[in-house]
Amino acid sequence: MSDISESIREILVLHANLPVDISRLSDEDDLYQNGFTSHASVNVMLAIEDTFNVEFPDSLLRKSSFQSVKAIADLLESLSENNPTQ
Amino acid sequence: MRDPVVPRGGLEAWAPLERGRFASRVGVDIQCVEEVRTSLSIFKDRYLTRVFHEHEITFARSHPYVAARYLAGQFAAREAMLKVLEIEDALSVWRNIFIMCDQSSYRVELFDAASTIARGQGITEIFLSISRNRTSATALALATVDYKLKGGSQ
Repeated sequence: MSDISESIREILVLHANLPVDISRLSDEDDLYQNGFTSHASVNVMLAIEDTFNVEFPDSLLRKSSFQSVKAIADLLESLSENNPTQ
Repeated sequence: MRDPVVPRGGLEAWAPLERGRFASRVGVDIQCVEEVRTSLSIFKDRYLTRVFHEHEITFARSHPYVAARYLAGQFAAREAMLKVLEIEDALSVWRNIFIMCDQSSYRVELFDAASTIARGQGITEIFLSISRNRTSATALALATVDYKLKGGSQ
């Protein structure tokens, strides 16, 4: 498991309010199907911004952006590519 | 027995309405007040500005003791509106939705992308109801769709 994936999982533990243990889910498992809510996705988004020093543009504020650990990691990667100084 | 409800102008007033032209859509959502309180406590202004309209933020700031309960209702209303607008993915539309409380009724104003989506779907009217208590807030949105305005596609 990558460092980014591990950091995302720590954020999910703190802010996603999931009714299941995140360690039981794979990086590809659908978070919404496992109790993730739209409101929790706001918290996760803000926590990710704080942790990784990025800002999500409105175009990326989508449910699908937070569908899984992998989706969040891919999103972070695309943000880093667009902001190579970060 | 009461007389049946007849539209003003008599039954013929209904005649021009094409069968199947109008439909209703409903969206409902519930939001936990404590979750909102926690978000406010951790993320403060960033949480407010990413989700809510500036007028809602002003109200919340000037009523701190009921802010979480109020915002939980506004959030539930947004989610109910996303369901009515059949928006499944774009969370950024939240900020294009403003819910005003006028006496005991609510009025919805849509801006930018939300307004464009509603027009494109032939939505002509939106009714909204919000109920709050100490622990949760519930919202129900009802929309009238005119399929003729939607461009004839059903």
